[in-house]
Amino acid sequence: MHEATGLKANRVSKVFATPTGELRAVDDVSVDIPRGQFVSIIGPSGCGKSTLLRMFADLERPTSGELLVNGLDAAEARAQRQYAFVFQAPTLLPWKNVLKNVALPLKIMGADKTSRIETAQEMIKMVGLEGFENQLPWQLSGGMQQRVSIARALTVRPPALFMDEPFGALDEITRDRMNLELAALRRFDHQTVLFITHSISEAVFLSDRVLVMSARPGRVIADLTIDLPEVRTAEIRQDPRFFGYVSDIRGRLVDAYNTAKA
Amino acid sequence: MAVADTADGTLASTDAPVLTRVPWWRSALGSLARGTAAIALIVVVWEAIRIIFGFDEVTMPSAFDIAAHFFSETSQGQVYWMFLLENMLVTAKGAVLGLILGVITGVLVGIAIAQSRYIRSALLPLVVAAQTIPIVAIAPAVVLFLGTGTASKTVVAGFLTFFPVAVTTARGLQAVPADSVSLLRTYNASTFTLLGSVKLPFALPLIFVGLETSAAFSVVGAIVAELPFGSKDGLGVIILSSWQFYTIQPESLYCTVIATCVLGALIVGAIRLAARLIPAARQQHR
Repeated sequence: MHEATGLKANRVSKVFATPTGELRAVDDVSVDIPRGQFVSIIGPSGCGKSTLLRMFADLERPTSGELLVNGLDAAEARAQRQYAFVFQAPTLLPWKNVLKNVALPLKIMGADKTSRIETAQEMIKMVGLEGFENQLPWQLSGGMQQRVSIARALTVRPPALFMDEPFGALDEITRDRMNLELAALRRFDHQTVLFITHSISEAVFLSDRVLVMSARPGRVIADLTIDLPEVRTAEIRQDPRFFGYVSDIRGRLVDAYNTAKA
Repeated sequence: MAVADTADGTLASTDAPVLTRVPWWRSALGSLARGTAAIALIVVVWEAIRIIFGFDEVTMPSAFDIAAHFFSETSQGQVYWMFLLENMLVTAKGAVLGLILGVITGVLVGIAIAQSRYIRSALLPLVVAAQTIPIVAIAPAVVLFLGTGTASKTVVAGFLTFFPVAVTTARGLQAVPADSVSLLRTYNASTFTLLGSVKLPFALPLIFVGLETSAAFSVVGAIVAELPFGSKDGLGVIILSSWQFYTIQPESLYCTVIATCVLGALIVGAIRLAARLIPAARQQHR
């Protein structure tokens, strides 16, 4: 189980054709993420980190190279629902209440009504939204909406979780709180997580490992193991090692921005 | 008011929207009052124009004579408004069937246009060209093919109603949030599921804008198909005979026009009601 590869990218590149010529978004990226690891990718805007994530999810096709999710080709992994994706926006269906939004993936996968309501309710409870089942998305705050979206992702019990700046639109206090909750949630299923973020402290707090990407064309320029206690609690944010990692990554990011300008 | 202290520190009221809702009978009473005021205003303006410009009884009959005409008797001894109502139902049948035909073809064409660039480039010029055909000109040909009756009315009304629905369906489908489409892709949903559970519901508020326009057009279409000689009943037939007898009895034309407006308003009203009852069709989801 521990040896089994969670996520693997082998010399992956992505080139977009644009009216002004070719745009190399991701350049020759190879990563190997063991099952159950929490990996954050951080890098300048437009460095291709979201593209890399979307390629793992088979929402984009690589120009060259291969991507594996739990040993399966990305397209096959999507067909077999090996992962759940959390977008930056909650991406809820505005006309459906919380319960129905959370149950949506199960409905599409053809689960019967009783079991999907049961599972959805369990997940709603897990993200602390009990009592809000019948609310419509607009009646909830941004943080609560994103919780609904995370509950929806968890209903399918995915082996892998792909998160594209899920807390990017939230204020800092809410974000810190959501980070704590996500860390706690993961103790149940221990999913492999690939997490895109702009926040250095968020990346350090949540991750077992942080990948730093350079500005376009996106390459992995640093691969850091975050050696902090397994159980992430709020106290970790006061840990000197935490600050050490944050400033180390900040330095590398500044380098990434500078090389982009040069 | 129930207030829940949520984990991220925001205070969310759970039932505030329900509390602020006005009771239905008060809003109904309000609409009735506004409707009456609007009709009164039209009567005042009508009478003012008639008196200021000094129009005679035939050119512009008084609003009160027109109102009185609803209660006069026809040569068959029927009260005029009953006679109009009977013919209105005939026209309504053609209009509603035409609207249904137009909506079904409109939605299908809209989906085809939105789904495929090739279909769009092939179909769109035809659809637009078809829309420029003056319907009054080809209605007699349709009647010649299909005979006087519901079939020709349905076709003409359908032809007139499909365009707004096709355009708004295509536009609505193209405006679906990209992430929502990606989300369904991550569930490996089929094109059909994607369309039915996400794309069409997202497009519904816009489709209903087209539908309202179409609802009004459907009455026009049915009446136009009744105008060629040979039709026996329907509002179009009465309009035609009212033209012939205008100098003798101008009121009947205006009564028929009012009946037409009432029919149009009823169909548009039904569409609006449907839009309120379907959660995804509401403009704002509140």
